[in-house]
Amino acid sequence: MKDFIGKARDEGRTFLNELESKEFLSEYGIQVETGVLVKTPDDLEEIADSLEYPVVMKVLSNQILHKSDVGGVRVNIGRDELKEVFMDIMNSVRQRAPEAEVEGILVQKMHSGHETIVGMYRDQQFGPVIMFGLGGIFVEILKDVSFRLPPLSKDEAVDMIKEIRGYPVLEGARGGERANLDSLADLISRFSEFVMDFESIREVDLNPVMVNRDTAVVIDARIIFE
Amino acid sequence: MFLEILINGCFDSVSVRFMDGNVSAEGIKAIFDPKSVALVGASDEKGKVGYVFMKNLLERYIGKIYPINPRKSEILGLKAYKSVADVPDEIDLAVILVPTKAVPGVVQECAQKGIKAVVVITAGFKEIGGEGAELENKIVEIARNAGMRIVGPNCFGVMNLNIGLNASMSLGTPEEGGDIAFVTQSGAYGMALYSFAIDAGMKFGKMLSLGNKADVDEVDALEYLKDDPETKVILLFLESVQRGRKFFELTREISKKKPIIVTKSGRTAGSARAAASHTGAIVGDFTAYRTAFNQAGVIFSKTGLGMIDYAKAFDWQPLPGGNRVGIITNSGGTGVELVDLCYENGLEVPELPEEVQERLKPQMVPFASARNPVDVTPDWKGFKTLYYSVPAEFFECNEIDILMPIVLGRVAMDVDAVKALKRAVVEKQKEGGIKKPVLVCWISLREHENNMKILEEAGIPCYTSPERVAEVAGAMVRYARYVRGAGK
Repeated sequence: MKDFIGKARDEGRTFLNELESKEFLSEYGIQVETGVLVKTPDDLEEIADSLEYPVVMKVLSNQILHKSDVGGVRVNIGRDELKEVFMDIMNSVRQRAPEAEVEGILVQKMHSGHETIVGMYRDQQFGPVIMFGLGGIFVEILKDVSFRLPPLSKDEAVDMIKEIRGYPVLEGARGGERANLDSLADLISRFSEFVMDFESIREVDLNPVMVNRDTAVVIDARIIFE
Repeated sequence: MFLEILINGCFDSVSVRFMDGNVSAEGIKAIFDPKSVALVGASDEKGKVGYVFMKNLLERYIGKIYPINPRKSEILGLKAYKSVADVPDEIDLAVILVPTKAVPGVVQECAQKGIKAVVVITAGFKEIGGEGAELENKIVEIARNAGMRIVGPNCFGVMNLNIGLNASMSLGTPEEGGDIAFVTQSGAYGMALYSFAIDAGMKFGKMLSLGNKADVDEVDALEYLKDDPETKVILLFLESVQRGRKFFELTREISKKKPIIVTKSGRTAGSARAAASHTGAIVGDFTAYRTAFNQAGVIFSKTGLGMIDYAKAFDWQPLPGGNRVGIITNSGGTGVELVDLCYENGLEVPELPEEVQERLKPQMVPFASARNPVDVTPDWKGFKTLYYSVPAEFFECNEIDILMPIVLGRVAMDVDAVKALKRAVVEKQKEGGIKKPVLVCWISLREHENNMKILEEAGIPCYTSPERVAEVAGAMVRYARYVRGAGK
């Protein structure tokens, strides 16, 4: 396995960028959406035909941890808007994070389903603690989340998922889509093994993890280490 | 933006445990089960701490006692020695009461003598910082090099009432031992809780005051109590956990066999947690503790006094097979209140099966209800019949897992009704072996407390508020579920 953390640490960093984080997670069999990294508007032209629309575009930089805060994330983009959005993101990032070095723009397929968050933080006494919740207002306003200490079997992960108040949403309440609980529990269980293996990892957000009837996929990820 | 924070900042210096496992376990055994105890700083002068300890040791301890005092040849009828080095026999445990500055020297002597463990009662160590912290590090170093364990410093002492050992500052020694073990980080409050519990009729086996936890901590104590056949219920009063992950793994194992009831104070002391992730931002200071407790089947009590309520039920009563409650009451209002509280604590109060109701109705006045709560109404003459027959029906009924008799006012005054309730429990549960817990909601004047004793002396716990009854029952149901889940 590649030494992701060692490499980033050598570069004086305290976190892995989105691409590194996802590559690292996929080593544990966690399903991730990587997308395509483009560096110039010409690169965009080349891949435009192969994309499934609409797409998401996100800035990739080793200096930017919170991409949205610098106008670095745009969603629901059609084919004819690609170049314009590319330039918009570049301009916004240049203005709001002038010191950041931009690796490029990630272009990703949009996933349907329920938005969830899977995270971890390291408690000074108890070590890694895993968190699960539904995305958006559920986690931000209602703090509707459940916690467990890893490692977690798939069954334990299922219990953890069912513990949140918003769980009926995942069951397809009010005509919504039924989430694939098995895939989600599998992802949480694998994630719990991942965090047990690296003591230097301090915090992780898999946010969002999109869950639909077929699968659970990590759409964005950040890994922060000591 | 990237706040490197807290996590490093607030690490207490966690010392590395380099000791060999067996030496360590032997040391802990010497603390709880010593064959001989030396009391360094023993005194025969009333009012001195050394006198209190001597008295407590002499009261019932079955092992050998060696008073140590350089100025006396005899203390309270026992030969006194100038130092532990002068004692001709082996010593398992030394209890140290000398002034702070003299402690390192005494610890050194104990180490040389080959004593397995010492309990340092003396204060003035890490809790005062600076020089005190240095002294504490010094005694730990001496002990570690010798493979000797240290309890404290700055603690109240240790007891094992099953061998009559009371090496503590407590007021007197209970006449008998028991199967509850109590480990406390808080000294005075811990001692007070212990006294309250004794007063409430509870029987303790072991009690350990951890003090500054320079060496022996809650994990060490738990490792011993885990396989201790004399311990059935473990109480922990904690301010902090020193080895969290280990604590979690150990409690998760122990909980499969014995209930652990924990109070953790300092839950809200808001450390200014700054975090770089979403996950980090949403967690509170107590999140990891709560998560660990829940996941390990640990019963959490918000308060120390509350812990005694839990302990009483877990020690005296069997675990429930489910969450369905049968309530008998002589007050409709209290019955309904208790039903609400039951549901709020994850319990159910189902209507009794038709045939059970049919059997009860002829015994009740026409306007009473046999549905559940079984409301006998102010049928004073009927109390002594119904407070036997209704609980007896609950025991036999497959739809009921837990009994909650409400004993209010007139029933509490009626010694025959109280005895009838006791008889039902003794016959069905204690003699008949039907494993359904009984938790009594006792609401009455103080002058009727003697009647409450009739129940408590028979191992039927009474609580003077409906909340406590429901909370305790809720905790029993959750714990029983944990035990069943762990057995899968």
